[in-house]
Amino acid sequence: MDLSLLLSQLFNGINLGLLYVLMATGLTIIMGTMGVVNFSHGILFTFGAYFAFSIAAKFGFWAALVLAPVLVGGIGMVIEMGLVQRVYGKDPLYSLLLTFGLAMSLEEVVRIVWGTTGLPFSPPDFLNSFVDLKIMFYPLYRLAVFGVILLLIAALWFFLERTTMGKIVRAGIQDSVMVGILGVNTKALFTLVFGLGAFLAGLAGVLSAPMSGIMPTMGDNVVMPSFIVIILGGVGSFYGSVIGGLLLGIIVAMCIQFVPAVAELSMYLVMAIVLLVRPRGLFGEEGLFE
Amino acid sequence: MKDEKGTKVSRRNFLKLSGATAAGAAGLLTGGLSGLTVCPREVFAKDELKVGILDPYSGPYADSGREQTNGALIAVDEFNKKGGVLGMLVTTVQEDDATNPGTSVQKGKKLIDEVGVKYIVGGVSSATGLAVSALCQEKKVIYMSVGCHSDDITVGDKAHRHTFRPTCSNTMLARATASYIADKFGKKWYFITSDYSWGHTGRDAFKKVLAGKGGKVAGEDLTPLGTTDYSSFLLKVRNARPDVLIVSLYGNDLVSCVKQFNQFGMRKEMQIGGPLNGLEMARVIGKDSNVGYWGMPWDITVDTKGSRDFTGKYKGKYGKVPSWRAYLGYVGMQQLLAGIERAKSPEVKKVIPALEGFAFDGLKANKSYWRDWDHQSIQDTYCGRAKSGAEVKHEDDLFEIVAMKKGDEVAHTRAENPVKLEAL
Repeated sequence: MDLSLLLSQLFNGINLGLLYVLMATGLTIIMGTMGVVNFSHGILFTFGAYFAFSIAAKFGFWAALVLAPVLVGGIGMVIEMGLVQRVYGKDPLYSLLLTFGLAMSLEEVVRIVWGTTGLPFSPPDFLNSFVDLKIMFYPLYRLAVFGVILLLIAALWFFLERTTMGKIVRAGIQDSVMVGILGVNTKALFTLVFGLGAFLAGLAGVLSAPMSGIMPTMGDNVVMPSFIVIILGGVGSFYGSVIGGLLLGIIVAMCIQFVPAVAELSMYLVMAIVLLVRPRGLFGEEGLFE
Repeated sequence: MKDEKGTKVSRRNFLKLSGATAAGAAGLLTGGLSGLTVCPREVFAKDELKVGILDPYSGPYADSGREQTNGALIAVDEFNKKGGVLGMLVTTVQEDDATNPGTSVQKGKKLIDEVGVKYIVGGVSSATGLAVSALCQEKKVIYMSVGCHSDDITVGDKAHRHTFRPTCSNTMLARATASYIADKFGKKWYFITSDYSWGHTGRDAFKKVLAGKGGKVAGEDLTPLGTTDYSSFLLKVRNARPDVLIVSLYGNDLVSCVKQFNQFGMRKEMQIGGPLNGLEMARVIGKDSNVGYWGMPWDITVDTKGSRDFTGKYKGKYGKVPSWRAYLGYVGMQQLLAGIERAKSPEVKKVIPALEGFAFDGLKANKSYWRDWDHQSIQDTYCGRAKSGAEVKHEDDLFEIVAMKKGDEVAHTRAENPVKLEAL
């Protein structure tokens, strides 16, 4: 076995996994805090990519990288205030159906606004080359994606662990009713959490656009793995989605290398095994979403 | 209970009677309603010819489906401008097959049983095409399998008497393209294949040409339809160091794969190619990443009067140049309607013999014809080179035809195709 091949597959798995981490973190804090299974997360990812396309055409890649996720975050807040808010406290089925329907409607909006055809999107020129890592060549853009996501994960960690606001969010995941009783404006907190989740999904969309192209259905392919990640990591757990995402990405990449026939299936196998051994997922805590 | 005449109506009989009346009324009503849906057909039978169009407008091949329908509508316009077909106005009923075999059969049944069409035109995915082909054979409806390239549509026991294929088969595309690639770039090939009928027959056709030239398979992988991340597969390919990577992928799958092939800098290390590529995909791949040698049923650069006229009409109606999908929709619909005219009857039993063996202007240098024993349209088949970077002069200047084969040189021979079409 060629070491460079193994290493490049490992890099690739981490690359894929980090995108899952971004998606899953948003999903998991929304699910943990509000008990909402957000199926519109995939379309928010798609919106990130399309906004990036439109913004990059006028103001360049950097503007797109910053503005597109913020816009998606804004859309997330609007969705929360206008629609999702109405189903809090009801059976999770309501939020599931609502967000699923929303995802389908918004996908049609994407088709109406940007067309049914996919759109071309390339990495900025200075990132469109390779790095010689001595044992292998790796696309610079993908390394940059590593950097951006790792920075963001660090920032998220800081926010959740070291700031008052983050503590409130974590407390909300533990018991949002109690947080309300203690005098926190949970309504605003929920909107903020939904917006943060949407922002992360939008950012994942922007980052993956230059890698796989932009098309109306691009969100569908990341939603399912992201749900698996939070089941793996444990609902509501930030560390769980980081570890779960990386694990899933690496497993899929390695399966493609060694047993391609089960690459697609491997995610579900891993999920089944983890659920058998640890029914709450790797970092799941008792009492959450149960 | 007594009525005016004094006859006794028992409660039991009353209930019976009212029940029967209600049922009768309901029967009349539904009879009347279904009569209403039948009525236009019966009454206007002399002035209207309904054709079902069944293309994907959603799912991974949605763009191609839209193009095919657009092309087909140009042919409908042409006939209607001349006064229709056999004096009847041609109208179409469009349905979305969603690139899904189950949906395609459901929508096909709707067109046949509810709308009452006798002809269905369309299809991009061969998985849907094969399903609709079987349905149409059962229902005795003509199916123009416009854009399905899997060999199976006209080869072997899945080919049917009621199905005609206006486009090239995978084997035709591979024979036109693969030998060119093998002679020019080397004979060690790696295959990435979409895991369904079209992908499989495409790969097999390329492999056969490769084996005939004494080449070697460096490795192969199957990917599910709808895969977006090919990077791990591409790393395997790079490690196997083939001369050429043959990708039997289409639509969004092809776009993602070619984009990532560029990202990993592999175009400096090997050549890439496959059974199909076209404008609607090359535009998304982007001119900087557009690379490789591909099978193509047609291209805007085919320099014949027919092609120029068609391109002009299409631009006039839709404001953009047609892809070869639009060309296929056009030719499929045009040849169906011309067949009905020749048959002098809209009856399916008469139209099929009018199509079989008929030679027509397929807008190419050599005439095309419907081969009577397998219903394959035998036609010129092209190998196109994808243009990139500075050589792209305008947004539609993305391919150059580098090789052309006559249909009879590349299609299955009778000995190669064990097909036996059903009796009419």
